[in-house]
Amino acid sequence: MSFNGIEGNINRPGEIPWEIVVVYFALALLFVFAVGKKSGGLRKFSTVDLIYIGIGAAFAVVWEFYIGSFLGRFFPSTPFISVSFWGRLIIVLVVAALVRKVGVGMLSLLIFNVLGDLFHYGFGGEPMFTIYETLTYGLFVDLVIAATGGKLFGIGIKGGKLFGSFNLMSRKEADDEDIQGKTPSIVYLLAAVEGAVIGLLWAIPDPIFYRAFFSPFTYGGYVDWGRVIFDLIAYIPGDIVIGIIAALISIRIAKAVGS
Amino acid sequence: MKFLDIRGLEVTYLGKTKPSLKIDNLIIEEGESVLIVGKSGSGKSTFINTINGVIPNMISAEVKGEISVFGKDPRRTPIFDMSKEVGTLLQDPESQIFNYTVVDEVAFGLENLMFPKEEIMAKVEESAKVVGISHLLDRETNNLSGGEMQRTALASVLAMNPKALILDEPTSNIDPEGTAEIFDLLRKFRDNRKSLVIVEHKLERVLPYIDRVILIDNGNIVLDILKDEIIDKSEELSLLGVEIPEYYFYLRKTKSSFSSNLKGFVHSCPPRFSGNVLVLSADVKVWTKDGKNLVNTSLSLNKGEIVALMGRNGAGKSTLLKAIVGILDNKLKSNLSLKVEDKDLSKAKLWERGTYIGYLPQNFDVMFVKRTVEDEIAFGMKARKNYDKAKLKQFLEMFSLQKVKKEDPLLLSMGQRRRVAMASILASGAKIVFMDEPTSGQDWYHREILGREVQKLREIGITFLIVTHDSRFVDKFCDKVLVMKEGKIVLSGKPEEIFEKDEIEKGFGIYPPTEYQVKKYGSLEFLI
Amino acid sequence: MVPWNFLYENPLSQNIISWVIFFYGVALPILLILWIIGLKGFMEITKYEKGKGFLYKMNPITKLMLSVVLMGVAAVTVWWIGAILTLGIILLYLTMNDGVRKFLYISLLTFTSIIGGMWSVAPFTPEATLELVFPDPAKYTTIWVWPSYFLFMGYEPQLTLQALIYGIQISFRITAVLSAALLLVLTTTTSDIFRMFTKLKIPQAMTFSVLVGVRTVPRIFSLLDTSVKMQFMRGLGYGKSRILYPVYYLYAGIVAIVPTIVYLFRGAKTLAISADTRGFRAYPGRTEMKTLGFCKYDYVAFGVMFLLIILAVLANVYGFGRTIPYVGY
Repeated sequence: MSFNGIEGNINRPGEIPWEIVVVYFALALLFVFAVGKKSGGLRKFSTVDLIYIGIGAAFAVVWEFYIGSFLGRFFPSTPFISVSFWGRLIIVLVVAALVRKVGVGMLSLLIFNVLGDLFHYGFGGEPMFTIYETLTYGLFVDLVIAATGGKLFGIGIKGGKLFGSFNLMSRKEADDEDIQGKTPSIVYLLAAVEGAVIGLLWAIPDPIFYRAFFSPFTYGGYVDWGRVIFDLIAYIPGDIVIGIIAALISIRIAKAVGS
Repeated sequence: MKFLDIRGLEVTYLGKTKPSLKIDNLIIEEGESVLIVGKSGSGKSTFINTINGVIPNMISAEVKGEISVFGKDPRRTPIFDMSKEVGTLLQDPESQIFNYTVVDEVAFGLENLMFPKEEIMAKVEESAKVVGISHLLDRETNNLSGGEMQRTALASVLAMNPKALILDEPTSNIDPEGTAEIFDLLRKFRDNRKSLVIVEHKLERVLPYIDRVILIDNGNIVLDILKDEIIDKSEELSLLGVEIPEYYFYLRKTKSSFSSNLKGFVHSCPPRFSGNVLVLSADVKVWTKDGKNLVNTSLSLNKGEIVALMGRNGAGKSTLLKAIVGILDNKLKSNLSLKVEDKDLSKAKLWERGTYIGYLPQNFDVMFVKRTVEDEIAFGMKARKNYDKAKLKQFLEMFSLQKVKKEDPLLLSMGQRRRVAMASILASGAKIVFMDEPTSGQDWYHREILGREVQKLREIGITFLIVTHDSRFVDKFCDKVLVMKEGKIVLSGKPEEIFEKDEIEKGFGIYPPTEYQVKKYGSLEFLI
Repeated sequence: MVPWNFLYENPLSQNIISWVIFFYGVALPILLILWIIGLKGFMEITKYEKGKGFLYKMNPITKLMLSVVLMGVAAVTVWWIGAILTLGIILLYLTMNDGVRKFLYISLLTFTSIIGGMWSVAPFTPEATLELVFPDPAKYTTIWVWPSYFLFMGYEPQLTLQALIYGIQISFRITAVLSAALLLVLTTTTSDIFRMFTKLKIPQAMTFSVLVGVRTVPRIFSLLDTSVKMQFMRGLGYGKSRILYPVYYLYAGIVAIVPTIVYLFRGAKTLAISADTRGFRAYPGRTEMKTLGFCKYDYVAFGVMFLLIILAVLANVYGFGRTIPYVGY
């Protein structure tokens, strides 16, 4: 018998030993609690942050289940292309760029999943999928935010010696005829690198965790390590390119919104 | 007790070098009612957000100096604690409300403050009664009219029983009838001696409910006067973008006061253009699935005229526009016969209609799909395969967009964005432009700029149909008014002919500029 | 042998057609549906509307539990139980306000999910898996043979009718859940969802974000719709054949996303001020004016859930459990 559609197979041939998976998620959870305790947990997210995340989640739903799923039909079903996934990557990065607080990645993934469940999946396989995605995709974004000291994609860096004098915030409406300050190209380069890193990290969970553990764990799917490795390699280029594009879109949106 | 006591206040947003607001000294007593005026971006919002603690608790900024609101420092008081002292009502009711039913919306604050169930119910009923929405409590918030929505938002604020109220342009986004309802409430608050800070463009209408006027410009208080001094200072106010009725200047010239006789006042209308070439004629019928008629009327436009389309919310104005340009909601059924410059467009595709008619929705921001201003304007030309560099340059110059042609349209100011949007639809070839409520939420300074732009475009033969509630804008810039009621255009004439009609207010929900009433009554008594 | 076997036997036509199917194989029927419904149609099946049917009276927690139970049952039983459940749930849409229209939309959406689900499974299912369902490979009907290099992309050498059938069977697991999930959203006010979350002790911050999301989904559709139509008015699709319109429609929808995000994000501050100045998150908890109750329909639903669970157990006992391995899509 299963719980909420989860079968709980842990000894399929080729499946990653469950101990490894448990250790990973235990460490990830520890990290979440450590960060949460240090920074005040959900409290540190302002109401505006929560609204950004909510709107982002709505876009993720619209993209994933309506536009992206149609669009996906135009493209071959190969591991090289994943329209739904890329849409989500872009939206998560846009929200992360506006909020720029460690934890936003995980909270976004969590809210995206709850909303996705409300509109589409109906909480099937939960809470496992939410925990899995939050502690992989979400956590990776947060790690990069932590590594950049909260200045993801160079947003929020102001007038440093390295970059000369500029400001990535949009001007107030008052300065009617003013033009936005120019962003130096080194900031775009920095953003592209960070976007690429997140893209690379996002290529990992699906083949490794999903295909080699959760798929057999949940549905009893078979594990083919040839395919796991192939998928991993195939995901990387696309995810990196989309990560870079997402970073650049994020800068544009952050400027326009004036975060 | 003092409501507000400010000394040496300086508010500087993060990343800015100079303060956006600087106030040396300001005191507002409890029970006083103060009107704040000034252009958009002058610092009005910064001022009120500093009083309610939104700055710096929510919007990051450095706040120097002393500030005390009923004895509390908003910087060191959580916003929710401040909200028990000062309630805040914002401009756009639609983006403030997020609960599903009216009763949930009104109870939202009380539930957050953990009042017991019975008390919440009592307070909700009481505040709903004050603003007159008791009959709406079970309604869905998204089906309310603008005025009803704004009163719901106000009830929600009042339910928390604050000692003072901040009303930030509470009538900017709602129709004249909703506006009148809100102003009626001001009278009640005034009778109860509630402290009020009102930001409002319609100066002459709020005048009866205030004691004092503060003019903010460029982050400074440049005028702080009692209301009786307004006449004396009308020139200064007008110069700094405040909407001042003409008869104030007359009163100033004749050295009179508000109670004086105004029989000598003459309201002069600008010359009206009258076109004689028919450019558009349409017969439009729109109905819902269950057979309810939304629009059933004929429309004709003459070349070069600026025509205003007025009437109550729900009269069918926007639906008429959408039916003609072909972007009606799929749920609605329609029957259209449309001729533009002798070409039958009744069954034309969207891109074909777009060659003749341009449409500017209220949220025109969503139409920017290109990375630079010049690409955005060239979009239509390129799509129609008639791209011409010289023509693009001409548009950039016509709309003073040369300097920003390489910029991202999304990063421009509101005024610039509107010009890019307008240039983009004209570049598609349109000679007729439909605008849906372009004046809504705008201060007089920006409405005047819009009016002048439209008149300039009229010179080159562009015809305009503008949906608006703004009668002063219409009086000053439009050539003709069409009035809609229950889906039909029932009146048509020059603005002065329409505004002088006796039944225009009650029957059609149009509030003419007060100059017309002054002319009619010869005094200002009608306002009080 | 299918009558068009000469097409895949000739390498040229085999390559051309394979690539066409590869790119557009299932796009056409789905595009047709998108064309019929339009973006606004989808907006309608994501938005609550007041109604009088019994679904509107039920406690949201009951509806949530129901969809979880349905998911569970569909996941552990044979495919045709999932199909019957899907049909049953879809029929419930008829009891909603404007039910026929909603029924039509959800049916079309289910249909696209079946096709989409089928296509993501059928070309990749190995014969070893298929044999568990259709034991005799000799009886398989080959519909198409892919060029040999398609194997590199994970394709099986040939597409069989049996693989398509298997794909459809698998997709019924998704459709039952999809149609059940929308039931909750369509018949529950955002306020009641808020209350449900509060009851389930979910932190206010998260509940609020979710609520904003729920309220924003239909607004996104409406703004995208405006943006798309504005692009057409400005000349998109000029002089092009009608057949290409859906492609332009999609293109316009995608480029409309950035301005729509910016537009909505710009409004975020107003909502934040409005919520914060009304004491949002003043305390860890909040009180409630109305509390969610259970009515007779809820008890009926509990009964139905109980029966469904019994059904799942019985199905498994009598060999109608989920015997087909899922390939993991």
